[in-house]
Amino acid sequence: MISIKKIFNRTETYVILIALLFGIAVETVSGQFFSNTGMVNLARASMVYLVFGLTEMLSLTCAGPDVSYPALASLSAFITAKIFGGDSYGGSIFIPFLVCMAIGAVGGMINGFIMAKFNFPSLIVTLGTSSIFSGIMYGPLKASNTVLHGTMAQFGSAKLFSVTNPGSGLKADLPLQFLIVIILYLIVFFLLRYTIFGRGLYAIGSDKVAAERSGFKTAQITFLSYTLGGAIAAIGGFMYTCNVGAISPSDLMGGEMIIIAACTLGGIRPGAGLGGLFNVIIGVVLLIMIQNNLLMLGIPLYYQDVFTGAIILIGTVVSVNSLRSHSGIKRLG
Amino acid sequence: MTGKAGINLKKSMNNPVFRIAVLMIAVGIIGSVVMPGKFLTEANFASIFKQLSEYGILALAVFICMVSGGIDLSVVYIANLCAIVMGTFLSKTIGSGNYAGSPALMIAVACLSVFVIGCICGALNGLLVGRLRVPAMLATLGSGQLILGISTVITKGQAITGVPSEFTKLAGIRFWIFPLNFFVFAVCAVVMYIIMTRTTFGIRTFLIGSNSRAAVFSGIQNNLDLLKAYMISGFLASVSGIISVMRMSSAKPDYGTSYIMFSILICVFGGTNPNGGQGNVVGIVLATIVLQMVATMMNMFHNISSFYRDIVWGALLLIMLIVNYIIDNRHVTRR
Repeated sequence: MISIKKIFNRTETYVILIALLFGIAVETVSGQFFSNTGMVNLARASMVYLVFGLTEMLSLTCAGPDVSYPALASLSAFITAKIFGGDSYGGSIFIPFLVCMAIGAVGGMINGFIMAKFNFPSLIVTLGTSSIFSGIMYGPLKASNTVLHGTMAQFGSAKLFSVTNPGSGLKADLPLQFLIVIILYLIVFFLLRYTIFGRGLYAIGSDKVAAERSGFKTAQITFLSYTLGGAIAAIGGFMYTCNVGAISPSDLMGGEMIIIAACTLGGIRPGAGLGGLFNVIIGVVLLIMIQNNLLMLGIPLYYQDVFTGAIILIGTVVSVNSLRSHSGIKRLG
Repeated sequence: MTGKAGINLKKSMNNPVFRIAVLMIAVGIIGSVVMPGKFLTEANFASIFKQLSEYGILALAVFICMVSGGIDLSVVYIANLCAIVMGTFLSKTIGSGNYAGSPALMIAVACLSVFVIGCICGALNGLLVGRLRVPAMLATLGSGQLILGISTVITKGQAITGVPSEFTKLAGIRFWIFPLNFFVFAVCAVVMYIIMTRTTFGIRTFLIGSNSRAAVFSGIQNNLDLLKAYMISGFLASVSGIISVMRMSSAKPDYGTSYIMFSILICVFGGTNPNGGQGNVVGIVLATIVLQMVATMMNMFHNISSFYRDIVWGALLLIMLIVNYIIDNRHVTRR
């Protein structure tokens, strides 16, 4: 009895229920959802967003939202692609990958430095750095769309496996890059659960002063978390660029809203020390599902923003209130 | 009691305003030295005052939310929705000739209905933040997306153009170097100044922002005051939307999304504490003018692409945050 009550106090339950209901709705209309191709397409569509979700989760858990990652991801992917994206580079994919990660980490360090040193809202700090990153990309570097060649393009089109729907005969490929997502999630899972860094991240999120008094090096942990976040964001940008097969600097911009929404939907509260990988996954998958399948339900594309907005609002209201009843604390302020 | 609190607030506020005033003079001197005979001219200042009202008003809208301890990220979308409704309404009535009364009456009706829309959007934010306790950033992020969606549905993703000239010619009215836009901004600023400093609602908003728990225990109805604050913010956003459609004679659901960052920059520049509880309308007005002066100055260098401005704005935001923080903390420790 108690455990059932507990289950219905959790945001995750509702998110999964909504996702299932939506899936059933799409399935009944189109018959394309609960099939092997449908699932592979969903995995492929949410791949990059899952990576960005990790960045956002790290930031949301310890301090607050990070809105600079799309600019940072675009900037680092752009620089990497400019260096390694040509025909002349035919070497290993690991070098551009690591270079991209390093650029992202440097960008993340700027966020981390300011966030660790001062007690500013992360939203405002990252708005500032976001403007700097995108300014650098368009101003001095004169970013524009270019098609990729060589190793990066090959890596982007490599498949892990492909499936064929026996009913419709449609084919769907899962890119090799999906492995990166799995490895990243395993690494972050390990970091969050079994290291002082991970435990400290949650401690800082729930109460910074208490974390400091109990001996966590809060400044160091905050700095590390943003650096890691920057590196992960760069990986996301790298994956996106390889996958599309072209440098398109403006594509990712504005995506921060969707990811923040996905994380909140999944049950992560900004700066509350709450959040896990599972929350990111269900939030991202639900939002991507809705975005990709509205057309299947016969709803015009320009209704997409209304739906996303409404879902964010309803989701946050429900999750805030379920959290309050869950913890049993009546918040006054 | 209230008198003393007023003096204390004033004391801590005097500082940033003074700082910006110094900065403004410095920017003026730099401008006239770097570009002699081009910067300190009537025409240049006329263009400065013409451009700043839109985001000056948006900054005021963000300001009141920031003072109350939150933030309003939906202002630009509210402004765009209002601009779209205004543009569509006017081109359907005056533009196609089927209306009763005079064009002036139609414009007045349109303005009023747009104000109502702004207030409704603000009330939605206020309800979410106050009554439903959603963190302001998330609530306004979501409502911004929703409002963007509504605008997109209204326009079907297109831009609104062909706003009747009876309305857009109002933007050309000028008194010496001050266009009509600027007077709207000035009126908004004066009214906001009076609201924030001379009314109990204003003082309570500061209190909620500095310590919402203490505000509850001292008998302030947070929910109601937050609702009012966000409604004012929505109203100001609608004013900004009207001005923007008047000046540009077109409107788009996602027009000027970078204004969000810019209006936050203005607030921080003007000495508003991003954690709430501190800020000054005079600072906002001066910050708006200074930043527009800097922008105009950068525009005068033709070889610098406009994207360099993003770097400057971002860097300025971070630098001002840190400078304000250091100065405030020094002040506290000295006392």
